[in-house]
Amino acid sequence: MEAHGRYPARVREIVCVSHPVCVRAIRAAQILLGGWDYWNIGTLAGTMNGADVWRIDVTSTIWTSTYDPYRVGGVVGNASGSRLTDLVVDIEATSAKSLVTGVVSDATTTNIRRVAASVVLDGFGVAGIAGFSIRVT
Amino acid sequence: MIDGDVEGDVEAKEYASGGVHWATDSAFLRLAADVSVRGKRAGGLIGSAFSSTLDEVRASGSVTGEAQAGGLVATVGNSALRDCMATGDVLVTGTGTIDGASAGGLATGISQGSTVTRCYSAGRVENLSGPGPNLQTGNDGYFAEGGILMPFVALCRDKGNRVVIGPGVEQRYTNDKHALGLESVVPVLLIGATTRVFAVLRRWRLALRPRNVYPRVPDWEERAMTSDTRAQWRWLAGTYWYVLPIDLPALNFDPDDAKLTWLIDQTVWHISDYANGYFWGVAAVMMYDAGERMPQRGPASRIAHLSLLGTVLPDGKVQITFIPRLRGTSGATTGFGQIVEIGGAWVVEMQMSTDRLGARVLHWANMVQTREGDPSWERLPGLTHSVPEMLDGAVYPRLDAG
Repeated sequence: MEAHGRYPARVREIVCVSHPVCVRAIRAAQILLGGWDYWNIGTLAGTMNGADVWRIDVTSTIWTSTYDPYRVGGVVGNASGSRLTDLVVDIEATSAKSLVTGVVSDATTTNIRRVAASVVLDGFGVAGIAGFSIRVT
Repeated sequence: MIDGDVEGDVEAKEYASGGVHWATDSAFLRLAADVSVRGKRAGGLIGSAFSSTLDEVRASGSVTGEAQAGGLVATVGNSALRDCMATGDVLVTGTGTIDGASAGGLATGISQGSTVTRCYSAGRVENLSGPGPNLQTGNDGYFAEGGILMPFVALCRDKGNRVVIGPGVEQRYTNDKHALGLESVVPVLLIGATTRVFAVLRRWRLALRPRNVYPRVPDWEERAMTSDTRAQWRWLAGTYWYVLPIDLPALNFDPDDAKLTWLIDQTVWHISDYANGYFWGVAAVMMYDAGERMPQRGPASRIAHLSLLGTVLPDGKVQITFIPRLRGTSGATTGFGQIVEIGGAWVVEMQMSTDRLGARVLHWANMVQTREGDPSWERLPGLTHSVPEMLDGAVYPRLDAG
């Protein structure tokens, strides 16, 4: 899977029913985005609201060119009101001016349960799992 | 809630943390980071935590910051830390123009309103920022400034020579050196009740210090590590395992005529529960002679259900005992093995020796996981059965709550 374009994918809801299917869809994904008008990128989705995602393996390399998005997540850039459960994440990500994270860059009100992550990250700010954890109870 | 494990290598121009950059009004439970962290301001697990709870969390990677480095958290405010530890080395390089550079074994600053309970740090803590308004919080509750050790917040030893924070269950901190800088912190440290507390801590430290050997790594830490590693295999609960095709053959020995033959032995495990290094569930076994088709009827077509009781050591060594459901049938079988990670997947390398109608069956196999949706879930190697069909009717061990 390779994504090009000005905008990151915007996904309102993702329900991952079949683990192998998700693995096939996501494995070795590489995201290459150009342009100016974007803020969030992630292997699975740039933005995620109210999504329930579970039992997925994400193996991905993320880099950015021409300009840096605001938030880069190994799985999701910006997730709110979502649940991510039983994740196995192997991420290598570089974005010099971004908050680069292994799973979710902005995890406001998003629960992240049972994640096993292996990360190599480089950015303005970096965090192995999540950038902002706001009201995650 | 955020929980899980993360390992790796992260580097930032500014803010770097092994797990979470910034937390507000959040809860973390059993979150562990084994991450080499480098940045201007660095935290082994969390960068900044405010109005949050951190329970049973740990950081074990090295933490290097130009200006700030906290073994577990860089800065903490109005938060509760319980049962936590940081074991990686902490280094502040002091490169660039940096005032107030600070290094802390657990954190660089813990502000008023925070509580720290049963936490400790054990890594080497260094601040290379040189002369100036710089702080270094060591693992024993001291910071160094100009080569002089002074008592600071945090760690002391209780009567059992355990490293704890505070003289009891809880210690409330009254300073925030990150915000105040040394010039402000020192007066805070030296006035009123704070001074008396530190004097008590210093006396305890000296009194309880072993006469000959200073225990850099206290035995409490080892026990804490044991407790921690007992939890690391909790993911075993709810997992299903089966035998790969290449490992299906098992060696059968008939003592009556000293004859060796090959069998096909497919076994499914469902580990239903895990607690404290013990796990249990059921095993479903089907064996038949190699070179023959899988029996469709008769006694040989029956699936044997066994209760599965196991233990796992922190390094992954396992012992599993398989017990027939009914007393009076053939005795229990005990196998030994090792959980290893191969190519990103967990594998249980097992060796077994079991009785089979008076014959002896030896089998070693790599047990790998299967999940609903996997091809192996629908049809197991060597059989026409699915995992649910193999486990149908099995009776699971239960932990008596009473």
